[in-house]
Amino acid sequence: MTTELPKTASRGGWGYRLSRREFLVRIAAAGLVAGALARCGAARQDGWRMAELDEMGARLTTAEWETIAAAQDRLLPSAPDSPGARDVNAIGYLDGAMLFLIGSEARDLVRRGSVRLNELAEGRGVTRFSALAEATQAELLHELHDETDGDWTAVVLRHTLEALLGDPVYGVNTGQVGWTWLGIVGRYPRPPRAEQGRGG
Amino acid sequence: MPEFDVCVIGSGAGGGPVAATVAAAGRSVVVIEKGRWLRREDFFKDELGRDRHDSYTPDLHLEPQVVEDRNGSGGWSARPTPEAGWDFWNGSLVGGASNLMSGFFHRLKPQDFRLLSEFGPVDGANVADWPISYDDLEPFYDRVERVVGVSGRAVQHGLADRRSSADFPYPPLVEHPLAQWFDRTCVERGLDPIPVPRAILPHPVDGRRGCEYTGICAGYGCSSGAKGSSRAALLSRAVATGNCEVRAESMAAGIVSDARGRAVAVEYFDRERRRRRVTAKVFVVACQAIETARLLLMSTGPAHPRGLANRHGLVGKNLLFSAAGFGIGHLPFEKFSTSEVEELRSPFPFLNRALQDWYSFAPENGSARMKGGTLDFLLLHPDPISRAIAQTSAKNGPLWGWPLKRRLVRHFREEQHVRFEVFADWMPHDDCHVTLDPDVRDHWGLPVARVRVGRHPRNKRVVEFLTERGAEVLRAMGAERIRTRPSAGPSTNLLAGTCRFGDDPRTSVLDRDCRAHDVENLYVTDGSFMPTGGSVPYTWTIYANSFRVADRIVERLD
Repeated sequence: MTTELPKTASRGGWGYRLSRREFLVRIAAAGLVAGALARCGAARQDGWRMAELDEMGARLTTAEWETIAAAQDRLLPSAPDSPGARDVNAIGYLDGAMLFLIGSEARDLVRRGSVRLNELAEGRGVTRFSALAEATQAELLHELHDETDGDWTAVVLRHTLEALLGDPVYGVNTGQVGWTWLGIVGRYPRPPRAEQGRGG
Repeated sequence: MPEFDVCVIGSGAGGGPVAATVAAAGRSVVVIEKGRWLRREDFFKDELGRDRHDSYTPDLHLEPQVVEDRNGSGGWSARPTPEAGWDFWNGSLVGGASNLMSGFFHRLKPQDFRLLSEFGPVDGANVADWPISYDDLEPFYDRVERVVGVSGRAVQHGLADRRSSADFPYPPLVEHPLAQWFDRTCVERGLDPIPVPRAILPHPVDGRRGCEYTGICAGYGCSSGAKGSSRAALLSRAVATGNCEVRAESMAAGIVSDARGRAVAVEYFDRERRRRRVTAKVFVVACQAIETARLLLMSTGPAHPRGLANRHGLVGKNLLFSAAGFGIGHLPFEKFSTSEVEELRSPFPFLNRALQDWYSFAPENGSARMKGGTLDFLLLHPDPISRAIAQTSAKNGPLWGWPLKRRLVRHFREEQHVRFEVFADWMPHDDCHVTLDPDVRDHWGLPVARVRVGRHPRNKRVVEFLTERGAEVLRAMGAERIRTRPSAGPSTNLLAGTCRFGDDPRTSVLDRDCRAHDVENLYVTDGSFMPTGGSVPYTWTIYANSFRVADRIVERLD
């Protein structure tokens, strides 16, 4: 016996949502775009991928990118003997996560935090948080932390640590630097490369 | 003429033994499973991709449940799971949650079958004896060891299991050297350390590879096939007989019954979301306790206006979780000698030790002896992201920057960690149950389960006692910075009850063979049958009981 389900029964779309892995595969793709953008400043790129992502209106702007990347450098600083946020594509990963992983509430929080950091920077005589000295950036991060009850730093720090210790197939933990630093071994079988898009 | 001899709804630890047994007996069986059919090669050690069970459980917006919990004013507040921040899904895939278990296997003790007789009634709790005894179930525990694959070492101790075979069919997994430290510590304190049996094969068997010792078991599908999931150990064999068909991505919408009250068909939505029907002589429900109750309650019929097998309004009552607590201790390398540090750094991930010295205990205040529980000791789960995020927590606010990096180095490179988990009886009572929510529907248009999660105060009392004992052991091992968390809340990965079995149809849903009192050809074989849960993880008992019932089903078909 076969009966069609009435379409009105749907709440939020048919079938399962994209799996988390499928989201991450897209993040890796978004990260590539983000990386290209970073290399050529604010230049826009043509093509379906950018158009699709822009339409969703979720990607980081250049100002947000600069501000949050600087904040991530304070949250997880880089050193010659240990990787930091900038070494593991933490900002590219967060940019992708803005599109596919985190809800609109968290997205707005990330955005508002970025705006607020630059407002606080103005109080220190500059227009961009990223232009401040590291110690001043750290002070302002603590101010933002208190203002947001810790929510902003929790979201950004979580994604920074995911970039540090996630599987490199997702465009993070470049060359396994995070795993090497902390002695993480034995995570096999590893997920297939993004373009293979297999499995659960 | 029915299409199949048996139709099983749900393919986890409750459904797999029935499918395998019926198929092996030459009878036809169809398994209806909501989740996808993933194979061994589909499982990776991919923390980002998995993020706990996220890859293997439904979107809460598409498949919500409703949590009903105490509010501040003494009443109950209901929130759909997308808002509640927690849910009860444990694995929607062929093989169910057994794919994602750790595989710490303990048998129930004889006293667990007689909780009321052994310890007497508990105020406000619906404690009941089981209609069967440990001896009735023992042969099936033994069968699980052989068929599903349980590795371990039988030792004599105060609560040692009565066994029909001398030892386990598979030798224990290689242990971390800390197991020896643990044993020495416990023996010095007059305790009985127990090697924990694992549903993990130490070597290749029947096309399943042996354990690869990544230690990444809990929450992950097993890529070697060593873990004894229903999928790897049972369904693959059942399908190989040619007598078993698994219909994955098929959501059961209801069991159809006739005017006489017999079940005649299951209606389900297939992967194209078409409504289909399958007929069988016998029906077996095994969707985990909450969803099993939901399916029965949804399945009204001319002789079952309140839902299938629900003449006395008992379906959904006495939902059980496991009373749980946790503790962790740190072993900083700087405290130990070079050779000891070498042992602490061992890459083997399994500690595999438990204590059941307080399976029952006499409280210090002189009140009567009461049921206690099990302490399982283990190393930290290897997932680095969740471990790193845990390091951001500090007394004076979150840690970041250089202090965080320093702490990460300490955590991952300069110390070992031992943790314990407490398993104790969750008292069945009137405010812990499953009903159908009157308003919320899932994306198939079906009413969803509304789960009231009332806690009995006894749970917390017992867990606090056991958690203190666990901390003492960690301290005696030389651990520092010991943190404990006795939990009053439900452990959402251990579900039982809602269709308790018994000899009296007025107080039980199922008879002693787990057949519905009211429906002659309907059985329930997941953990729903349990009137009380015992003080161990449930999976071994669910497997064993399902094999027991499967034998009855085959007998009736013959």
